[in-house]
Amino acid sequence: MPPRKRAGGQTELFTVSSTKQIQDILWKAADKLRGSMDAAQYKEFVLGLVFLKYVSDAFAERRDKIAESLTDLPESRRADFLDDRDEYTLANVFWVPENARWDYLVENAPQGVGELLDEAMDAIMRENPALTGVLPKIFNRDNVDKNRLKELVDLISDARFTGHGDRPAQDVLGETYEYFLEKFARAEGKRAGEFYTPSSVVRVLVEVLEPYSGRVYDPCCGSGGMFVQSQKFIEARAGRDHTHDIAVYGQEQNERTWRLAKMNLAIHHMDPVGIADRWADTFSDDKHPDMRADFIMANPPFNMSDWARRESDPRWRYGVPPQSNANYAWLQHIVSKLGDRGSAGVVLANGSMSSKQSGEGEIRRTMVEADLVACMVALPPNLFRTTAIPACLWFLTKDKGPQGAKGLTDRRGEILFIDARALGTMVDRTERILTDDDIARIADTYHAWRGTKSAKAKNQTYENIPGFCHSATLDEVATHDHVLTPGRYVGASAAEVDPDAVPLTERIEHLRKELYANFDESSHLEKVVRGVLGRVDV
Amino acid sequence: MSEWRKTTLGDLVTLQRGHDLPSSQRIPGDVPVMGSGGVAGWHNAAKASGPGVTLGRAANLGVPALIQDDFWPLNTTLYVTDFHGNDVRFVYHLFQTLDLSGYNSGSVQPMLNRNFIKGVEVTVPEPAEQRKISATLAALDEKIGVNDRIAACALQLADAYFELAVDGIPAGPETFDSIAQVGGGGTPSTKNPAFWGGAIAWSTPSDVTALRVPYLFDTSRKITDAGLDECASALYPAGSILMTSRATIGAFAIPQIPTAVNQGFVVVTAPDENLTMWLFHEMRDRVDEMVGLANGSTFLELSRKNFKAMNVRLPAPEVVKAFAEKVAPLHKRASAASAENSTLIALRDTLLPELMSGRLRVKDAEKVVEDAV
Repeated sequence: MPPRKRAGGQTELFTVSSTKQIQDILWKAADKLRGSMDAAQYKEFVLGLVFLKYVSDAFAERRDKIAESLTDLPESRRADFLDDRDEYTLANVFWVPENARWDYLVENAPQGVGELLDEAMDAIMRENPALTGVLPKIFNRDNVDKNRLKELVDLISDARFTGHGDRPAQDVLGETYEYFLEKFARAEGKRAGEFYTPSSVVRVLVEVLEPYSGRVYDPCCGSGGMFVQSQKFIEARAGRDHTHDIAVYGQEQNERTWRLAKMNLAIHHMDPVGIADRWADTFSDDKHPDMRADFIMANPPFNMSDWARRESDPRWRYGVPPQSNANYAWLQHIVSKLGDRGSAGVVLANGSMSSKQSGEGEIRRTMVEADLVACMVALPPNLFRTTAIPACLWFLTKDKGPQGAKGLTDRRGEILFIDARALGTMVDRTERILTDDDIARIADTYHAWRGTKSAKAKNQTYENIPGFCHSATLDEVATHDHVLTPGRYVGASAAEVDPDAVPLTERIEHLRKELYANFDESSHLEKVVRGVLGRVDV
Repeated sequence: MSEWRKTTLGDLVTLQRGHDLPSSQRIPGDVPVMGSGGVAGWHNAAKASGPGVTLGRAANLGVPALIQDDFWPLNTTLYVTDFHGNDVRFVYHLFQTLDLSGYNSGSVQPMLNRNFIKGVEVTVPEPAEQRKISATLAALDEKIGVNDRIAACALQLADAYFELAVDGIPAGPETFDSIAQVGGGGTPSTKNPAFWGGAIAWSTPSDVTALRVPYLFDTSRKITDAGLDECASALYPAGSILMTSRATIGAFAIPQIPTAVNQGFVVVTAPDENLTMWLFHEMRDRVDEMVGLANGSTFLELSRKNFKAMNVRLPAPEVVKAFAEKVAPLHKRASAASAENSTLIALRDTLLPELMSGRLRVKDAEKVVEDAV
């Protein structure tokens, strides 16, 4: 007799082993729910569930740990400790009241899963002020298919988020959250630009800036991808213990995206308080007015013309940006938030490097003359699924000097230009990614130029490479009218000498033979054509 | 001469739906994967043997493709699994003359269902007659093909000669601006009909990017004398160098007739033919560099100013002259092959529907001999 089939993909979940497989199955299951809901709401819905599972798992794990340490205590006293909130909050674990714990939800789901979920979200927010207003309460609505919702809850319960090597369940949930963010970005296409920056682009910023410690700020943080990548960078280079060497601060003006960011930070063990208590427009309602950041990373909306502009804003030190385009507003906002030795990386549309409309050329000149621009990178096309517009990276800093004990190379009065347009690999017809090697090539070039610790460790020294990188003086930049397009400065790449290439004279000989053979065939065919046309009975 | 008979598509050939093969499952090989728009990729195994015919099913409804080798038809196509003794090429041309797009059976996505087209009536001759017709059309197609190869090969040879000639020559103080006329173009007001439909060729970049070899014989739109007066373009002489300068940078054409251009071009007119030959190849060789000099937020554009200031590699006049003498015949041969193709293509397109309908017949070979005698 064949085994009885379990509902909706559960059989699969018991047999698969990799996180990726679990994510794929969950995604497919979640996708069934789509239909009556609009894409943005649906996204909040699924990510909200993953988040709920995360807080519940983290809570249960912490509870087990506390229980372990209490074995010496008499039974009657254990409960006090197990229910002491401080034991949880001290370990950065959210307090999850009983009616929000996953086991409770699954057990009581038959009585109305939508209502239970909304109550659970409410209860968690009530108990944890850091999450006030963050979690979605959209599960008990008419447009939600209750049966599908129950299936999804079952799937998330069954998915083996634990037992993948030595990684705690919550890491796997964190990855799942990110995986879903990326999948949503793909599914939403153009409109996704506001919450998602492709991870290879974020990684270039992170690998160049090396945010090991201090304040990391993103004035338009979307779902918080810059922060998550910064943390990953630290874990990879300095180890997990150093995760809390950075404090993250962000702002986001879309309400739904703001929720996603808060949850994303929490699920990655970062303090969600860093994202302001409310969504708000960075230009009209700056939530971090006193920020002096060590690192700023941002991917502002490209060429935004609908923005809150005030001519007298003190942030416009280098000139008032035009209403028609906020690119130079973002750049100047970022400069105004930079600490004296801070550095920033900004993703902008290519036009920002050369535009002269509405005074932008003047602002750029003033910024260049103030020696704020450290490095410009031209990116290859198709990195962004959301737009075909080519993009570039601006790296800004207030201090290009040696910075005392850091002993950096003195680069005052110089700008590094990197033309990375030839890098990257197409992963399908429309999307390109930068590989690890591509990212390392850009970051290494910058580090060698700047003489950072990591370049010294790798014994790398800087050299201009025609067609790829060039360090230009401000005078040189002035002769180009302060246009910052890297292609101008790096020049053409030296002709690549392919050792296997056929020598030119041989190639000419070959082409000549081919041409003569074609001539012969042509005169033969000419006779054939005369023949067949002669037979057409006109 | 054999009679033509009425039959249906379903009786003439057997059609089947193609087979799924997602790109992730393709293994590099030399078997063409046929989609509704032609070759969609490559794989290492075939599902159908060549020669064969596919029909667009999910897009390009009913548009046929002819494949000589074994192939993999995707499920966006229908393909012929049995020709029932009919001539393959004839069947291909027959589908060319049928418009099956009206048999769309999809509600949202256009879709061609083989059961819907089975009953379509066609009139065809016996296979022997089919072969005479397809041989006639094949001869024209092959000649067109070899002409294309002659033009491409001659041009590659000229490029290779340039590589040889320019070797070791550094960019000098001369710029494009200092040794030639550098111009641009414009568009007469499209609202004023008095400017349009005249006798003057007026080129847009799409005229040029559509070319397989860089010789422009005609333009898709024409302007009047008044239109030329009104727009920012000069009338450039035949033999000028047209280069696209926005969106696509560095597509080239040498017009064979006097031509005006729109604003998407940089036009170089050299004082003599020898220098034209040299500059044409110099420009082609430096497209990458020009793309590097381009600006623009929505699409890249090379400004005339940036182009003009580029330093040119320029040898002594005798070297330029010797080079031009070597490559000018190659260009002439390539452009002649390309011109011949225009005639051949027009001839084929005129004959095709006539031959396929039986309105024009092909005589037997013996009969031709008799006629000649």
